[in-house]
Amino acid sequence: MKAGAVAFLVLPFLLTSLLDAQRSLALRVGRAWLGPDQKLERPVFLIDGGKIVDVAQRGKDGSSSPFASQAERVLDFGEAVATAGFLDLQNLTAPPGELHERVESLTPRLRAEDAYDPFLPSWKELWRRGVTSICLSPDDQNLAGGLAAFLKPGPTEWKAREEAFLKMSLTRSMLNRERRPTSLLGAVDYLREVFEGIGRTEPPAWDPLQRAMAPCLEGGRTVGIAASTRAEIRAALNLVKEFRLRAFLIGVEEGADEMEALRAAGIPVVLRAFAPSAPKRALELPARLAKAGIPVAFCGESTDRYGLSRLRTSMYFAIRNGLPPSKALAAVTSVPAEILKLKDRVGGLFKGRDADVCIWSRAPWDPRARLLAVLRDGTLLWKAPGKDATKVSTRTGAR
Amino acid sequence: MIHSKIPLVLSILLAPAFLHGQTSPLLLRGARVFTGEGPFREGLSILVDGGKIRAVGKDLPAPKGARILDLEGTWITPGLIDGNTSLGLPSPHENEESSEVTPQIKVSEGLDLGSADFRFALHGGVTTACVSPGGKNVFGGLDVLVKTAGGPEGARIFKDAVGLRITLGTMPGMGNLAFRGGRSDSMYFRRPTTRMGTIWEIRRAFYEAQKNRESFTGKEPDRATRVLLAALDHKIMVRMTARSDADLRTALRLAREFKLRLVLDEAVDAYYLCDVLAAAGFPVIAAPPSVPQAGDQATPHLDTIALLAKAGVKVALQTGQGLGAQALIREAAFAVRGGLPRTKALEAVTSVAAEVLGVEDRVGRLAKGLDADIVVWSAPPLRLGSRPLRIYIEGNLVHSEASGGGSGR
Repeated sequence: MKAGAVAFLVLPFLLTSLLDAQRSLALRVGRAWLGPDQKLERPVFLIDGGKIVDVAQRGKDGSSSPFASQAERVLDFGEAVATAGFLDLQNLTAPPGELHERVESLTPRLRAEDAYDPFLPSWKELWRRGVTSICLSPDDQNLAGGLAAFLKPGPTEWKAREEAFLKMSLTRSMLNRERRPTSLLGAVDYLREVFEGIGRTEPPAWDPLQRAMAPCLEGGRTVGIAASTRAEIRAALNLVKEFRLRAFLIGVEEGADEMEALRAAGIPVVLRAFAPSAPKRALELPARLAKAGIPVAFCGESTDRYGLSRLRTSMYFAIRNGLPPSKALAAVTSVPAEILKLKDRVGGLFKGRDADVCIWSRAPWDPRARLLAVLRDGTLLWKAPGKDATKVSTRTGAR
Repeated sequence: MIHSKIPLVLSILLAPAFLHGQTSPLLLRGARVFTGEGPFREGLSILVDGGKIRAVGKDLPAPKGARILDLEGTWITPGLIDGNTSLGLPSPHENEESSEVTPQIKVSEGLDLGSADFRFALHGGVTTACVSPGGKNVFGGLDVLVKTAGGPEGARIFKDAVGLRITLGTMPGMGNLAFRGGRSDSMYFRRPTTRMGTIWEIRRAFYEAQKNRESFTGKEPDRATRVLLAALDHKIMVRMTARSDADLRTALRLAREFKLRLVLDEAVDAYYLCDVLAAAGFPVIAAPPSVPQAGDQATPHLDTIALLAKAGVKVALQTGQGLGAQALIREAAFAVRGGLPRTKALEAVTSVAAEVLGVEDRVGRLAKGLDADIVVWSAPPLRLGSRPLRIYIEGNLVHSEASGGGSGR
């Protein structure tokens, strides 16, 4: 029964992959945002081997049709708009309680990859919202919860890049009265003790904890620190400065009160999905951060449908409260890619990048926009049902 | 036409700078002034420039370009200093409870300088506060001295690690039997559970630190040991919270044994041993006199502070941590009700507090070279209806009744 169910889920993907991924594709749309600030009218993308091999522009009257002879298939989405697939920098999709170890608060050796279930129905829900890549991350309940995994979720992706970043948390949900630390003071002290301990000894003498934390020092491993309140934000920034961590902050709910400190630190900030009831001050935070020159990203974080849909809602609310649309698009594409040092693979539709493409009826920050199709690594991952999916033509031309 | 608008544009651009009083010297005159010592004096002027007090004296001439503020009918004191608070901490008893001995914990690491606590303290005339870790650990950690407003927030911390907090009595042992039904492997099943156990922890920590120094092998000792050694070497003060008669005597014994630079905290039962404390010569940051209860079976007396001062003990005041105290200036008024002379009461929250905390070269008095932390009161400050009209911290106007609260944070 179980094997049958697995086969039922896997086979369509395997077949699609085998049939589609091997064949080169020319993708036509009306307009594309290659990067958040770079728009191209009437583009054609030549996709082969899961990568964008080339990008060209069609003539206004349709006279020129680049790549028509090179590609084995042509997908024409008419006047639709293409953007890079969204990257959710902190995704917590796993069975409840699976993303933190309870006994200890410093567990930097754990890997979120090991809590990854490729067959969760939630992944399809993500695709339908334009999310093609995620960082499956330990949650906020440990001081150093473990390594987040960058992956493209769903049965077609089996490989994970285990070292996306080390997830740390200084929030109240990390405090536990039955283990160390029980306070923010103690949390900072614990981290300082570990980091200073690494500096005071030589690598052969390091214990496993020190060995796991050592790559964070001097910027060797990216660290994502969850910090919500003013005191937590300040404590996180002090640690980043003191130990020269390559870090970004997650949450930063009271960031509006710490703008000076955030500006001085200049490290990226990843904001959680907005609640519909969020106060004006919170809704204006992305615009204020961006104006201060701080890179801003959004994360979906929640596992429920309501939460997943809020990645795009975050863009919409932030734009309504002063964030330029290009920055909002960057917040779900290029900024997270840059944080993960994966800008050569994801976060844009440039030559040489992975062919992760979302095709929309309008610009994605327009609340009326509908997602028409999602391609990942050149494979059509999801397509809107009905005729809204526009014309799809297939040719079998010689390569 | 264009030229006629230049002064208007300039005045708009420079208005914020003038509001904070940083661009030109400021001369305050006409008020009755308490300099931190002695009674209020008439006819004194105070010259402020660059965040510092440049001169205090009679008939001071106004330098060129100085703004002159005529404050006739008001009373001026130095900014008040609160000897012990939990301002900006998430709880009044903030401790890292995974260990009883956490001398290395710096309370400044978890401080929320944007907290409304500081604003409330400021509006009561407090410009400097000592924030200290809670009393649930034997060694709680290191205190920090902060200004309650003004300047960028990082700059408000003007002396970190000012003292090491040690708590005697029953408080550190209170939760250690996991009496609410915790797990048998809970960290709350731990030492100490008695007064004796608490003192044993103190002795053990100091002995271990001394031993580490003696067996020093060239490697720097860990942070906890470094703090303990600094306390043993008189580099930082040791603030020992002792409420009952027995705990106060224990504190004196420990101070003699380890030759500590001791400051007694709360000292509720000091009423019974004023002469002993005077002979020992250690200062006291007394518990707020308006609070009628105290832990450790100590018995508060309204006249304790007056008796201590009379016996020659240096006494500062505090609003304390979660004690339900009133504003610091009101606590000083309660001490007056208990028999303390008014001048001594004001000294207890200004110059004496600064001396006890070891920052008399920065704050606590109105004297040349010290920070321009100044409070202008509507009436004699110890009078019930008195309120701050203007408050300056390092020369910046941070509260002004006329502008409806001033620039707050």
